[in-house]
Order: sequence, then structure tokens, then C-alpha cells
Amino acid sequence: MPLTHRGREILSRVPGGTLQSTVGVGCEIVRREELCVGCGKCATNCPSGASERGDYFDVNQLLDAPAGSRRGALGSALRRLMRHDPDGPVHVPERVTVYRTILYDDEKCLGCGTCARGCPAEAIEALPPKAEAAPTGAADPAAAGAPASEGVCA
Amino acid sequence: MAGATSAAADRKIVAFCCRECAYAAADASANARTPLPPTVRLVLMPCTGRVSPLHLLSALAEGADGVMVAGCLLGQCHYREGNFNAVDRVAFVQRLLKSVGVEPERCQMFTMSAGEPPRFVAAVREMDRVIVGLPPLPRSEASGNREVPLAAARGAA
Amino acid sequence: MRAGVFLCECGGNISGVINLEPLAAHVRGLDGVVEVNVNQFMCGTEGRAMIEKAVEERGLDHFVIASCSPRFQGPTFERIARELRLGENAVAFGNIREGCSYVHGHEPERAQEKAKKIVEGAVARLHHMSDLPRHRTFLNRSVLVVGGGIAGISAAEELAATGIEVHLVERQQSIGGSMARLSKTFPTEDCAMCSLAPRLTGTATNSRIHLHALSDVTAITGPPGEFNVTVRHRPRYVNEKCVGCGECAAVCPVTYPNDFDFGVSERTAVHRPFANAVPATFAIDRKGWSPCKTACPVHTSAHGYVALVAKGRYEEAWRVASEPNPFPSVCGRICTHVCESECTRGNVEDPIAIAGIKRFIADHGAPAELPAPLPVFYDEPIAIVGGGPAGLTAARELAQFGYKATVLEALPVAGGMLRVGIPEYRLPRDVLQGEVERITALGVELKTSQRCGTDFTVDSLFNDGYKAVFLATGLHQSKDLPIPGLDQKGVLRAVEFLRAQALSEQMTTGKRVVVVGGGDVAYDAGRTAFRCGAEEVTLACIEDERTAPASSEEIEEGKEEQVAVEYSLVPIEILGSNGAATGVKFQRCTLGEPNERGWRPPVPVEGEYVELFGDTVIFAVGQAIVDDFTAGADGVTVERGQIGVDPDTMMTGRSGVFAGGDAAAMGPWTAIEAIAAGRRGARAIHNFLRGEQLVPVWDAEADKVKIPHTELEPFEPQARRIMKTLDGVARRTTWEEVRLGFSEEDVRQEAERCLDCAVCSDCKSCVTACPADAIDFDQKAWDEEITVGAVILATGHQEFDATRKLPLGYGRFQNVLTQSQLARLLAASGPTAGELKRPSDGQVPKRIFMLQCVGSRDCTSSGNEHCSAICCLFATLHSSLIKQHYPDAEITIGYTDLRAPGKAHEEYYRLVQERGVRYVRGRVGEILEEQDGSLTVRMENTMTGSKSEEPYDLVVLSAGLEGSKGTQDIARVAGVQTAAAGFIREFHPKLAPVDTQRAGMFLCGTAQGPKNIPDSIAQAKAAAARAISMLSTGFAMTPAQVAASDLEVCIGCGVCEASCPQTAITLTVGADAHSVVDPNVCRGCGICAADCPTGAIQLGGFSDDEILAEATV
Repeated sequence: MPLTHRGREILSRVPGGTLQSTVGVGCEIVRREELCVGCGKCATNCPSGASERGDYFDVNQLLDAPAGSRRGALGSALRRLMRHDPDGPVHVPERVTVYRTILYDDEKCLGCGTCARGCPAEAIEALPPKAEAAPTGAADPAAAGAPASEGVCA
Repeated sequence: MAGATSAAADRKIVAFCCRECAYAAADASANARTPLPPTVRLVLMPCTGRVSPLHLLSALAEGADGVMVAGCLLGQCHYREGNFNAVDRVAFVQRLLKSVGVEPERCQMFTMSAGEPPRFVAAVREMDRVIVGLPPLPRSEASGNREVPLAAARGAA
Repeated sequence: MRAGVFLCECGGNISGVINLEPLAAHVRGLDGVVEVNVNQFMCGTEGRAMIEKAVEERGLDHFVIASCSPRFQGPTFERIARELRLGENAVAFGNIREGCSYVHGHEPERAQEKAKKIVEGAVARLHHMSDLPRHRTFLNRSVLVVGGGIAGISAAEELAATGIEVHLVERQQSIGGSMARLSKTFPTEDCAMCSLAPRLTGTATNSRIHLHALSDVTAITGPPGEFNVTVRHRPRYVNEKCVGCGECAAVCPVTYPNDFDFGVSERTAVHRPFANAVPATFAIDRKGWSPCKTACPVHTSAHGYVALVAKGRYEEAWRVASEPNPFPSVCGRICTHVCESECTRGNVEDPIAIAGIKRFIADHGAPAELPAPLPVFYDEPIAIVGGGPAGLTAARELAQFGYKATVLEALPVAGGMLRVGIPEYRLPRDVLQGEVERITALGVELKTSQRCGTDFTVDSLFNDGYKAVFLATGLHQSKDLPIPGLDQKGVLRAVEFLRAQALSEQMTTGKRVVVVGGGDVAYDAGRTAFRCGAEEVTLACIEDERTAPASSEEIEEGKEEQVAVEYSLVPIEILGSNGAATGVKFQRCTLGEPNERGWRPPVPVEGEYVELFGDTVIFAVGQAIVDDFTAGADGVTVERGQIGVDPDTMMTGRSGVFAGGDAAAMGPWTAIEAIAAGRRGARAIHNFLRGEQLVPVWDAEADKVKIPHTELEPFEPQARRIMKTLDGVARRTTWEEVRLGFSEEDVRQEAERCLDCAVCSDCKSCVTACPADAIDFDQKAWDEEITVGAVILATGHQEFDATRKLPLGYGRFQNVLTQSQLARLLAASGPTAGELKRPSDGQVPKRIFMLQCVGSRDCTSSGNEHCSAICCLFATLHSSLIKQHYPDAEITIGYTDLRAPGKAHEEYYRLVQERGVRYVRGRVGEILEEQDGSLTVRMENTMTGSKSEEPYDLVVLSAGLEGSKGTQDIARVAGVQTAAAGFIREFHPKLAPVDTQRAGMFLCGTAQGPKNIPDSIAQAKAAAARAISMLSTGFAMTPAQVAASDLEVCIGCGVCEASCPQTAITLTVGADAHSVVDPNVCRGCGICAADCPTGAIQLGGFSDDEILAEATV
């Protein structure tokens, strides 16, 4: 299954978010690391520096990546070779750009949703603040009844 | 096959060679009939910058006991900087292998100029020495967890 | 897939090791293989026939050639596939010769096994190979060459010789570059200009070379083969009629450092850099308007008349001053001279005394005879109401346009406020009268004692046949303050007081006079009071001392005449007894917050009162309009004290009635503003009557030159001349003019202080002098769009700025030069005609020291690391030339290492050494200047370690080479990278030395790095050859091995865009962003494909599938 149409199809097959952070203002940012392709757009776009391209890579991100994706192919090859679970994150040399774990600091996150809007892999979702979030399908803050003043979510 | 060489004969090393330097050096050494270990299999690349971690890991996963990337001397890449990318990608793959318990020396980078056939020969012999000195690379069947046909890496439907 | 496999024996080279029959049998069983053949030489005609037959009979769509290295015969088989219409990517190769038989001859069994795998891999690859698109792109068979030095010229000539159209763009006004400025060239010592001049002429006369001199390339867009180039042509101000006679330069009053001679000589503003310049036309170095001209409300070229005065040409100066302004004598005396406020010299010290200079030329340069009447072209008579500066100026302008203008003045005398507002001791009556007469002499009719609203009306003017009316009635009434006691005896209003005095000359005041007000009118009233009998005059000013509104001259002269001034006082009551004023009661005030117009209203301080006593009180707190003229002028309105006009057209509410001057202005109410209004009004009336566009009536779109303070270094201070005046107290009883004017000596020295901000002074002397009518001040910069297939960058170098090496004294000591400057002094065509004269005293230097590696081979932050390559021989050449002309000269060259590689260079160095030039390996710590301009060089001999201190007459620094400013600029425009010291980076230092990072752009000459002339020419011709080989067929096929992005898979993350070293990839904008590869720019390295996180971008012929299929067999 190719990673087409911005990951929609894969998104539907993947279990819920692996990292959720709620902060005081704005949206709740849900990041699906399995979908991340490592392009770093979220880090480039983040106005507060909450997202950042790390200098290490969590090997599990390869092993857990969905079949059909580039990382999935790499993970599959690694799975056939591995003798034990990954020792831990590996340090990434300078010119390897896409195999990097994106550091995400929920302390710094404003919840503005810029990362979600810009994510080409649709690996990030910005949900309305938890308290007011509708139980399902809450991608649209207006539908979830978020106050207009916080309507910056993607 | 004779027993003495059977261990070596089973081994396979895939050598991704750039067209401008490494493959040219290989041709030149071959024209001088310099013997090389038959473990090595040349794959022509336009530039080592084309070699991605996927190529290296997949070759290992699909039967190679070692992979090597051979390119131009650093700073002499005919596309300016492709070999710098290759050096970093090889280092990255080595770290990946190490983190899951595979000998990182199964993946190595070498550089040489087109006018240095002996350097190419030395690189291949070194790689052969390392790989023959290691047991065959064990690999499990494709994991049931996530079925990934190799060719699909490109995303072909 | 129907695949064929062709196994080559290579005449035994392969079959001697590998048994091909079993291999063929093995291959036959592979998926997709329908045909397997073996041949002795697949690369021969038989082999080709075999492939053709198989394709035809077995319907092959792909095939494998198992033979030698694909680097060797690959292209042969790819061509066969193309010719058999199998497409671009139909052949896979099994390298069983170099990859197998040649290297495993000692292990034939394993070689046999390996050969199987190799061919299997190739067959596996076939399954993933698909045709690759290639496009034919048409190439524009023309080339842009940027830079007209020897490299650019050489490239252009070479290109033109092959029939390619060349656009040669040069930033300077002539081509020739650095070579034109050399004296001779090493090692042959032949004259640089002699070898260059024929090439310049050849370039100029070559019909295929389109020369764009004095032009810049401002944009290059589009793909290689079809670059769209924007060339900005800067105005030359001399058109193609120029015959190169040089009459213009002979009359140009400006002297400016000659940049062509590296500042060792001076040149005029209109000039030609050297005799053989191409194009041969002169050009005016004109940056725009000097600040003084910009500042002046009528845009008088103050710079122009100042430059002429410096040359003693007073009558021409008068013409420049009076051209836009009929009152130069008046303005030379009483103008508020905003020109001086904007003077660049004023940023550092006192500005130039422009007004004083103007007065001098008006007094001494004006022609004695009156001008002849002007012919009337148009039959619409025009009435001008008000004979002040605005009305009279408008009348003169209209007369010059060709109208009959009649001025109607309410008072018995003409001149308006100049006549009845400004006292005689500031502006003598005969001076004003002289200028009024110059206006009436042109045919302007002046009718005095004609009051609008009383003696005639606007209606009656139209009834009398006038077609347009200009109202310039001024402000002839004092404003009153609403305070008690105004109606007492001894209370006067300044405007009325001054007018009565001017008309009757019989006014008397009391002994003690209090003037309320602090502006120029208050001073005029106070100082006039002295001349009417007052013994004590006190001004009471609302403003504080810092913000007092009077001009500095009035304040200064008032002080000299002992006018007492009290600041920060608001009048609240006129004191008096028996109906006669005895003084004024004031309240102390401070200034409040500024309002939107910047005016700070006074804020009274509670309880602080001041009383000033006097028997005469004069109010000078503002002027107001007398609006009686509106009777019989329907549509003309007076609102808030001024006539209502459209600010763009100056027309009042009534068609055909215009207004200007003080009466229609918010202020400042100055003579020069009124004159400007007169000029604008005349233009507006002309446009109105001729049915032309009503707006705009004023042109101020010229480039306004402003020289930043930082560019003024080094700056020679020169004090401003002080104008003599009559003695301060003694003059209080006389009406004679207070200020006496400059002497001729003073005025010329003062004029020489001018810094020539815009270089050209706009004096227009050249316009008159030019016999070919070639001077055209209306030229504007314009952009030209051209399309070219390729670009060659030849923008050259510049000399290292030796002032960065402070201890060497360059720029501080007159006798420290650079080699480039020395080259000009030694050039037969240079400023000294080849005579070596040192700058400080013009003497021939005897002891000369040359210092090498200034700014080169220098790892400090102020220098460059590279060797500039030419300096050792440049210094050697100059030493040799000096030694031949002046055998007595003692020349020492202090070098780091003597480098003379290249043909005949070492021989030349030895020859010059034998001529007696001393070479010392050494390092200079410091150069000191002696009293007489001679120099002391402190040096360490790095051979012996000894230190020395030696006297020299002249020091020449061999300053190194850097990429020129033009090179930096073009690199930015063209999007190519620069490396250290500003040289453009070549694509590959060894393999592609004349290619840049951008496809279709090549480089040559010193823009690439330091080099001598023959190397520059060789490189230029190489760059030309690269461009020719690119464009020779007129079209190109995009290569197959380029990256391409699959839009279905691409997610638009932009990783490839960042990773491409060629900038071949761009990301589209929008919700469906994806990457697009320009196949003309892509060089096929595949870095993008390796980095792509989705596999959307793939390299043609090297897709992941193809590579993995082969690598995993």
C-alpha cells in the first residue's frame, strides 16, 4: 500500500496516537510516530521551537512503521537481520536527514496546530482541547464546539 | 566446490560502485587481470549519493553477507558532494546494525580515484577478508508482523 | 516481458574462463526470457545483426548484454536499442568480463557460478525497467556574456565567429576591463593597450556582438537554453549623435577623482575613460540630483553654479541660477537656503555658503543689458493678480511659454513682500528693481495700483478677454491677539508698519520698543524700529531659545545690533496710561506636547508674570490674508486663511482661476516657496490652456543623491568663509545694506569646498558646448528583456583594498601607491604620459620599495589566504620598466616567496634581477611617513632574521586580487555560488573548470580566480566552446538519467528540494504541493532519490526497484 493521498488510508489502519500532549492553550497535538517520514517540516514550521529535529533516531520507529512505507521497507529488512531488540536510539550523522526522531517538547508547545497543518504525511493531528473535545472525529474544532478565540487548530 | 573454499564460496558481497571513480578503477584493475575474490558482486551506480540505507539493508536481508559502497575520494565527487552523503548513510546503517546485534563491519565505505585500481583491489580484498572471517549472516524469514514486499518500497501499487 | 539475452565470448576473453553453453541453458529457464544467443563479438556487426533479428522475429522488448563493462560498450548497445525503437531503458548489462572472467581466471568454477548470478541479476533488473521520457527542448542560439574585460571580449569574439548572437553586457561605460588600465604586460613587455585596442574595435564592429555598456544584468530566470535576462541600461546622458570631439569635457566645471586611473588623476563629470574607449561616445557621470538641488523648492542647481563659480565663470553661473528663478539677487540675500541645510559637507562641518555664492554671481555675473522681449505664440492673455515673487515668477514663466501675461499689483510698486515686507538694509530696492525689470523686459505688462475687488474683479478680467487668472495676492495683514489694550496709541502691527515704512520712508517710533514675536518679521520690525528712531528694542518670543523660529542670520544680526530677546513669554495685556501704550504684561510659559503638525503650543506657568516697558509695541505674531479680492469672483473661496485650491492642479473652485504663493499655502511662507508656486502655477495654466493633463504640474522624480556620512572618509576639512558686514551698532541708523558680500577670492575658495555629490552638477554647460546636439539630460534608466541559451560570466576581479592594512599607510600617505596605480603612472596613455612622478611633490623617485603579498597569502582576518598569482611578475615588470627609463632608480622588492611559474616567467624574473632590481625575502612591520613625504620601511629579512629600517621615496604595494563587486553581484543574480575572496565557484575544480553550478552558465577569467591575461583568454575560449557545444544543434534532448517525481506518491515534504546540489528541484505551492524536477538542470546524481522518505522521486535507469532487483539476486 503506497503512502498516497497523504497517508489517509494508512491512517485508518493504524491504532491511536502514540504520543499525546495537552497544554494550556490551543489544541491537543496528537503525533503518530509510525506515520512520520522524518521530513522535519513540523520542526521548521513550529513557531515556538517545541518540535525539533533530533540528532538521534529511535530504531523502533523503523520496526513499527507501516508496511508499504519507505521506513516500513527498511524496518522489514532490519527485522530479518536483527538478533535482539534495538539497544536504544542511534546517533545520526549530519547528512542523514530523514531518519531522525522529531523531538517534541509539550512544555513549549502552544497548541497552535501549525505542525499538523503542514505535516505532509498527516502524522500529526491537532484536536480541540481535551475538556471540550468530542469523543470521536474531532478533527474539526468548530464541529467540536471549540471557542472561536481558539480556532487556530488545523 | 572444494571444501577449503566452500566457506568463502557461500559468501556474497554486494559492492555499490560509482560510475566515475570506483567502477572505473574496477575496470582498470580487471584489464590488468588483477585477481579478485569472487565473493564480490559489482552493482553500477551513477554516484554513491544514489545509495540509500534501503539498498544496503535490503541487500543484507536478501542474501548478501556484506555490502560495500565505493566512491570517489572525498572532495572529488563528480556531482560535488554525493560521496559525503554516502559516508554518512553508511555510518548510519552501521549504527542500525550494531543496535540490533549485527556486526557493523558488514557494511563499509571506501573511496578511491579512477586512477587508483590498486586501491579498489585492496578495498575488495579487505571486505572479503572481513566477511569470510565472519559466519554467514543469519536472517529470519520475512516477519509476519508487517509484510513488506521489497519492490513495494518504491510504493508501486 | 519478452526478453532476449546475448552472451558474448569476447573472442575468448570471456569464453576462455566461462563456459557459455551451460550459462545459456541456465538463462533460458529464467522468467521472461524468450531468446538466448551467444556470439563471438556482440559489439561487432554480427552481434548487432543478431540483436536486430531477434527483436524482429521474437518480438523482444528488452534485452541483456552479458559482455564487458557497461562503462565500455554500454552506449553502443543503448544506441542499438534506441534505433530498434525499444526506448531509452531497454538494455541491462551483465559485466561478465571485467566483473568476472578477467578477475577470476584462477577460479573458473566460482567464475562460472558468479556469471550465472550476474546474468540473473541483469534479467531481474529487466522486469523493473520501463521507458524513460526524454524531451526535445529548443535552445536559443544566443549567449549572454557578462563583463567586457579581455575574457568577456575573447569569449564573445569566439562565439560570434560561429554565428552565435552575443549580448555583451558591461557595467562600465567602456569595455576593456582591467587590461585597458595596464601599462605593459609581462613577460614580453609589450603595450597592453596596443594589443587590446584592435580587439575593442573588433568587438564594437562585430555585427553579431550586441554591446550593452553602462548596463547591469538584474535578473536571469528560466531554464538553460532559454534564459530570460533583464538588462538595465543606465543613462549615458549622451546620445548616439556624439562624435567624440570632447568639447563637453572642455567646459565641464566638475573635477572628480578619476576612477579609471585609480584616483591618481582627476577627470570631469562628462568624460571618456580613455582615448580608445568602446563605445567611443562620452558619458556623463550623473548620479542624480545633488542634495542642494533636491532641497531647493524650485530645484535650482546650486551644485551647478557653485561648480562654475569655482572655475571663475560667473556669467554662466548666473544663467544656471536664474534659469529656474527670476530672483537670484533676492535669493542670494534673503533666501532661507534649505540647500545649505542639506549640503553634504554640513554633515561634517559648516555647509557651503551657497546663498552667499549666489549673491556674488547675481552681483557680478548678471549681464548688464536687459533681455529682449519674448515672442508671443499663444493668443490667450493671462492676468496675474499680485506682483510679488509668486506672481512675477508666474508671469516670467508664462512669457517664456509664449503667453502675454499682465501683472496687476494693488500697491504702487511691484515686488510684493520683497518690496514692502523686507527692509531695505537687507534687500536694497535697486537690486529688487533690477530683477523686476528683467521680467518686464520680456514683455510682461505690469500695472500697479490695481486692487482686485475694487479696481477690477475676476469677473471683469474674463470679460476683458483674459483666458486664465493667477491669484497671488499674498498675506498683507497682521494677525491680532485677543488681548486687552490693542487700540491704544503706540501699538503697531508689523506688516503694516514695515509696509508704511517701505512706501513712505518716514515712520518714527518711540525710544523704547517692545516687539511681540520671535520670527523673521519680528526681527525685521525691531531692526527697522532702530532705523526709525528707537534706542532700545526688546523682542518677546513665545518659543524658547532652542525653538525660536527666526533664521540664524536674523538672530545673529539682531544680536550684533543689540536687539534684546526674551524667550518663553505669552502676552496677556497691553499696559498703558491715558490711551497710550507703556508696555506689555506677559505670562511665563513652557512649550507643550507637539500637535499633529509639529507645532508646540505654549503652556502658561501659573503666577509667573513679566512686564516689559516701552512706548511703542509692535505685534509680529503672524500674517493673514486680505480677502477683498473675492468680490466678483464666484467659486473662489478662502478657507482657514488661505485660498482653496486643488493641490495637484493649483486651480481654485472656479475653472481657469489658479492661485499660489503665500495666499494659497499653509506655509512656510518664504520667498523661495512663493517662486516655486509661481513656476508651478504657470505650468498648471499652460497645461490647462493647452488641454493637456492637469496633473502633475511638477516634476521631482529624479534620483536624489544622498551621500552617507560613512562614505565621506577621508575628508579634508576646510573652514567656511565668513561674509563681512557693517559694524553692528553703527549700522542701526543707516539703511545701507548690512551684509557686504564675498570678495572674489573668498567666493572661489568657498565654491571649491563643494564635494560634487552627484558628480554632474547639472550646470548644462555641455549642452551649449556640444556641436552635435548629443547631450540629453532626459535619458532615463530602462530595462531590456533578452533571451539567451547560455550565459558566460566574465566579471573579473578587483584589487584588494590596501587601506585594510593599516600599518602600510595606504590611503594615509601620499607616496604609498598600489601596483595598479603605478601601472597608470607608467602608462604612456596615463595621466603623466608615462613619467614616473611621485604624488606628493611630482619628483621622480629614486629609491623605490615594492611590497608583495598585500592581502594575499595572508591568514589574518584583514587579508585573503590565496596567492594572487600575478603580483610577483607584476612587480617585476614594473621594476623593469622603471629601471629602463630611470637607470639610477634603486628598486627593492620585498617578497614572501618569489613565484614565477608559467612560460618564460622564471627567465623574465632572472633577467630583471640581472638588471639590478634587488629582491629581498622579507616581511614589513610598518611604514612611516617623514616630513617631506618620504617613507621609512621597517622590515624583517626572513632569510637572515635581521631587522632593518630603510628610507624610500616611493612605496608600491602589490595588493592582491579579489572577486570584483560585479562578480559578487552577478553571482547573486545568476544564483551561482562564490567561494573564498569572492571568486565564483566552478562546478568541478578539475573536471569542469569553466562550468558553474547552474547548467548553461559558464565562467572564465579572473571571476573564477586570479590568473594572467593568456590564461584568462584561454579560459574564455574554453567557456565559449562549452556554450557552443551546448547550443550547436539548436535543440537538446533531456537526458534519460534524470530524477523524476511521481505525483501520486509525492507528499510534498520538500526533502529533495533541500538535498539537490543543483537546485534542479522546486516544490510547488499550495495544498497539493509536490516536487518538480527540471530535467535540463538535473545532472543525475540521485541524492534526492536516496533521501526521499516516500520513494516518490526516482532516478531514471536507477530506480530503487532496478537497483534492488540486481543487488538481491
